Amino acid sequence: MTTHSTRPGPAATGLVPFADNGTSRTIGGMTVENGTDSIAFYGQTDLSRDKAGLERARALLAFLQQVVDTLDAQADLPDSLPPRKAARVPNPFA
Amino acid sequence: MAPCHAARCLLHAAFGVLALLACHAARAQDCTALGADGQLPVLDNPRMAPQTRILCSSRFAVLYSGLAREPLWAAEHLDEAMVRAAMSTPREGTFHPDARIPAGSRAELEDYVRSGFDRGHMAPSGDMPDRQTQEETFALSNIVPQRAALNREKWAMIESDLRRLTLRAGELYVVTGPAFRGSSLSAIGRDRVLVPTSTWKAVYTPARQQTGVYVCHNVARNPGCSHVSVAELTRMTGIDPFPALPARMKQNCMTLPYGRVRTTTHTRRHTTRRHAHYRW
Repeated sequence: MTTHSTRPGPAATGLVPFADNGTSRTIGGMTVENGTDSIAFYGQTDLSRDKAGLERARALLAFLQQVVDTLDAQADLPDSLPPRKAARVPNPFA
Repeated sequence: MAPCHAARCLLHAAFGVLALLACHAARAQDCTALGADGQLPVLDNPRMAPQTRILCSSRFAVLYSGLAREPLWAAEHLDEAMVRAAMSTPREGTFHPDARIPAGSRAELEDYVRSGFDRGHMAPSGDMPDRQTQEETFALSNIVPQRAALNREKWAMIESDLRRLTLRAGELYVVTGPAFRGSSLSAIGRDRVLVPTSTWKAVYTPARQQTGVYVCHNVARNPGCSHVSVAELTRMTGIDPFPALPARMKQNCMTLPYGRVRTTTHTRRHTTRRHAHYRW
């Protein structure tokens, strides 16, 4: 689960926020795992004072703008979405 | 060399059609080269055997469990060329249910939605040398519910450190899996995907003839990671990751690149069972 490259720009990612539960991409050096109810967003990146830094910052901005627009457009947005409760089952291996 | 011996097939057959298919499939697609000295991991706990099947992918193999709805182990053989290629491959893929397993016996994407758990790779996507092999790691048959605090930080660092160790040591055999401690477990989604209490990663370097294991608590806050021997791993989980290696090579944990400082308080020269339980 580690980020190696900072290649894709916003147009190249093909990730539409909240549209599916499968897509995982590296955006601006950060890992993004799409979900219909939550997007995992993690990793480390450098926004260096050079053209590569600018490209990463643009990619992140474009992605985060998409997230904001999608959430903004949802009329019935809840205050917070609680996690589902896990079940408790006997350990089949014990 | 067949990964599924006749005796084990007979044992499996008692548990139904899926197991029979497993033996058949395992024979058909031989991926034993992914195991140390040509042997894939074996189970030492008969309770783990029902509803298991070996699934071979291009650069890793898993033992899938229909009871856990996740792998019990994932085996890889890393070498320098593979890791160099992996490091220049952008990380991308699409999580997907494994089409080799019938619906009703497998995990689905929906099981993980709002579960509070990350989809934690056992064979890491970051080890794979190209897009296609990377995509194979996104099958849910290679995924377990892992806490974000572990998956995104310490676990990711361990994965990354083992890639760097591969560059230094030339090649590594790595086996990764979940551990399930206690009489009851959490399970997520309609398919009841079992939540492991820890995840572990066993390493063998042929160049140094040494082995070692990381084990990390799968908890939401400040997960601790320890270094243990393969012998302890097998005693605690019922899985022998390197059945071809002699017992003497499994008694001690080699010097591993990550977690030494943090684990010194858990490591004792004379290991007692109490200490072992603490680590797991």
